[in-house]
This record gives sequence, structure tokens and C-alpha cells, in this order.
Amino acid sequence: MIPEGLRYHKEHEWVRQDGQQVTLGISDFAQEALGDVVFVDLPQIGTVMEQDQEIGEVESTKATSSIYSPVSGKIVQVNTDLQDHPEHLNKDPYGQGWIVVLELSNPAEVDGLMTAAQYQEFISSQS
Amino acid sequence: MKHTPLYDAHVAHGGKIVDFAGWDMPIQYSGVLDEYHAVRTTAGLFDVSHMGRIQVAGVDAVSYLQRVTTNDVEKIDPLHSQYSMICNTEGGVKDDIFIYRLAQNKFLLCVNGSNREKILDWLLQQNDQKEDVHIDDRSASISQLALQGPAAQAIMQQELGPDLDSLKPRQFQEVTVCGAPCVISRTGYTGERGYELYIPADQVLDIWKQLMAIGEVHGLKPAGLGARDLLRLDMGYFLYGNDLTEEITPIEAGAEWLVCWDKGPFVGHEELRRQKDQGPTKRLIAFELLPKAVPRHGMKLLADGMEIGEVASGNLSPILQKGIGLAYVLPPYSEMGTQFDVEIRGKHVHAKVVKAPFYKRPKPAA
Repeated sequence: MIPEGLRYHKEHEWVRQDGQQVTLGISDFAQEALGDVVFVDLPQIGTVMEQDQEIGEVESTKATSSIYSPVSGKIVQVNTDLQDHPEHLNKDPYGQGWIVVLELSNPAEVDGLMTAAQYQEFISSQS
Repeated sequence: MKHTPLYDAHVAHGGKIVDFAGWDMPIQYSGVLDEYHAVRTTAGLFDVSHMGRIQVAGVDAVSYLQRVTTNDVEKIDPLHSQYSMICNTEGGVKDDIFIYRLAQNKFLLCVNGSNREKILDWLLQQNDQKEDVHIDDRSASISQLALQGPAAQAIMQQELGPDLDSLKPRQFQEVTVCGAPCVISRTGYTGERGYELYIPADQVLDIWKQLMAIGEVHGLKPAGLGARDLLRLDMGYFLYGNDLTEEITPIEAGAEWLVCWDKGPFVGHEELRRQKDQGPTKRLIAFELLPKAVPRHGMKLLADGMEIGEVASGNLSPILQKGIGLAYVLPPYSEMGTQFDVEIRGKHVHAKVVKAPFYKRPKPAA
């Protein structure tokens, strides 16, 4: 499941742009590969991220995976519901499973990310 | 890659297959957490046919097993089983095993899948030709299932009748399950009430299907290796390769209760005796993290500005919602309640030594 209208990163994050802000999460492909998520290590509001920098960690029953920020910007919202409901990442990766909202410092970076069609192709070439 | 007779059934039930010690085994079906909770609340059915099953029989079987295992074989009554270890000459653990006494001079050893060939070779090598001991690898002809969870008894009873009531922990009986001659033992690796079944390999598929059908109304689910690992860690049970290796002795692992000192010499005896007298240089502890985080195998333990140990097994317990683990530490840090840090990707996370098992199942309602 790869929704249209989102932009995708090679580390399997997605962003949904809304003006100067993006919401960020992990793709359905990523949550499927991770297995059951049991804990999400979330960043602090106000943290300034560089593009491709590690933004947090997702712990599944199997392993730990890093989440990377596909864009530069400042974290303005964090989905603290994930602390009690890490399963949202599995059940609704593009909805309730959102991780943070970033205020973009370089909106042009969004255009450099993959479209849904490109991401689909990227996944196919990986497997 | 090797397949158990249930491989196609695993795939048909949505099993996600991984390589485990050369076997294509299901790590999960419906999901690790779903299967974990099924075992804690209803029941789960595991295929553990990848484990090794080795028969040791003959007039000298008892004296032979006294020599190659650490525990006291004389203490096993017929139709009972015992947890034990096989050590190398330096006292390091070659494997942790279950010994079933089928008859006075006939035993079945259940060994770890990853160690089967190594242990078989070792057992043959330890066999003095003057003794009457016959060692027979039955792994391919006998399959093994584990039915675990609070509903396990109700599911088995539906097939076997009330005979099962009298089966005590570590006891077993020879029975007919769904028409096949089986051994059913009250053993397992989950901390729940449950059974392990030893079944002729050509009938295991039928029995697996019938148990799944009988169990459906009880909430039985097929369960994979992922759930199995979380369930055993809740109990502080060893996983060979993580918590036990040939470089670790039973003394270091806190498993001296599996070592019988007065039964006469056995392989590893002298080194273990020496280590017991001098004290080991590391000890296994159970620990929990104080903030919520997830410890993993290989992470460093820090205290007083130095490295004091390393995580052997770690995960987040789904039922406790706490990071828990087993670790080897310098002996001064092994006391109950001792605090230290676990280094999790550069962060120092507080932890303390606790008593295993981490999880105790609720007493059944009277």
C-alpha cells in the first residue's frame, strides 16, 4: 500500500506536505518488514533536523531500526500517542501512526523525494 | 535448507519463514505479539521438530549419561524428565538438554536444533566401546510439537480424556493422540501450563491439523519462533547461543542446581569444581530497565565508570511493558538490586538486577 500524494524516502519514510510543514511516518512496506512495533523512541519538540539525519528509533519484537528525516527542518509536533500505542505504526502507518510534524527549512527538498510510483519501483528493485 | 514435515502447513497458515540453524522455520504467522498473547491467555501450538531427539539405550546407559551430563540421572524416575547440561572438558556448556527416562535403561535426549550434529558426534565420541550403550539419532523419525497456554489442558483433554489430570510437571506418558502413538510430556519453554508431544514424523501433520481444529474454540493459534523467544525470556530461560556457549560454565550461568557434585566424575567436573571453589569471573543476572527502552544482545553494561558486563538476551516484555534481559556481569555487580546502566546506542539507560522469572502467571481461579 503506497498512497498517492505523499513523498517517499529511500529509508522508507513518507512525508505529507501541508504548506511549510510536513507530517512524517514510515511506509507500509517498512512496518511490514519490521514486524510488531513495541516501542518508539521519539525526538523532542524543537529539535532541528538535517536532511537524512536520524530522528528516532523504532523497536520491534525482532530488532531496532532508525527513522531518518527525509527533509531539513524543526520538529513542531510529536505523536506522543505512540508511547502507549506503538501498534499504530503497524495498523495505520499513514494515519494514526504518524511520528512527527516538521517545519520545513528548505521546502525544495520535498520535490527531491520519490513519488508513489517511483517508490513502488524502488521497492521492487530492492527485493 | 531443511524442512520439518509441517513446512507446507506453516506456509499455508501464513507463516513467515526464516533460517533458524539451517531449518526453514516460521518466525511468526498472525504476528509475534498476537501469538505471544495467545500463549499467555489461551494457547499456542509450536512446531519444534527442528530440535534434536537422540535415544540412548543399553545396560550401561545410566553410567554413561552420568558421565556425559551434569545432573544426576539416577534421580529421574521412569516416565519423568530432567533438565541437564552437557559440558566440555573445560566445563563450558556444549548444550542444555532435557532427558526423558523412557524405561530403566532407555532415555531420549532432547537437544537444541543448532547443536544436534555437534552433540551427536560428542555422544558417539564419549562412548567407550566396552560399554553397552546404543546411541540413535531419532530426530528425523520423531517430530515434536509444543502445545502451551492456559487452554492447553482443555484442548488435550478433549482428545485424551481425564488421564491428563495426574500428569505432573516434567512427567510424561505414552498415549494415543488422534490415532498415533505419542509421548506427551508436561514440559515447555514458555512458563505456561502446557505439553510437548513426540510424534511419529509421518503422522505429525495429521495431529497438527487435528489439534488446530480441536483448539479453535479455545482460541488456539499456531505460534512461531518470535513468540517463543519472548515467552522464554519472560521466564529467564536460557537460549543456547545467547546465554550459554562453550565458553560459559553452568556455575557462571547460575545453573549450579543442574550440577550434581557427589555422583562421581563427569566431563567438566574438575574445572567446575575448581571454579566453584575459586569463584567465577562473571555471573549471569536477570535485569530490568527502569525507563522504558529495549535492551539487546551484545549491549554493554556500565557502572562506576567502567564496563562491567554485556547483555546476553534482551527484549521488551509485552506483558510487563518493561525492557528485560539476561546479562553476564563481574561478580560484585551480581547482587539483587544492584544498579547499573545499559548503553543503548550511546545513551545510558538505568537498570537493576532482579530475580527471574520476570513474569509469574496468575494462579488459576479456585
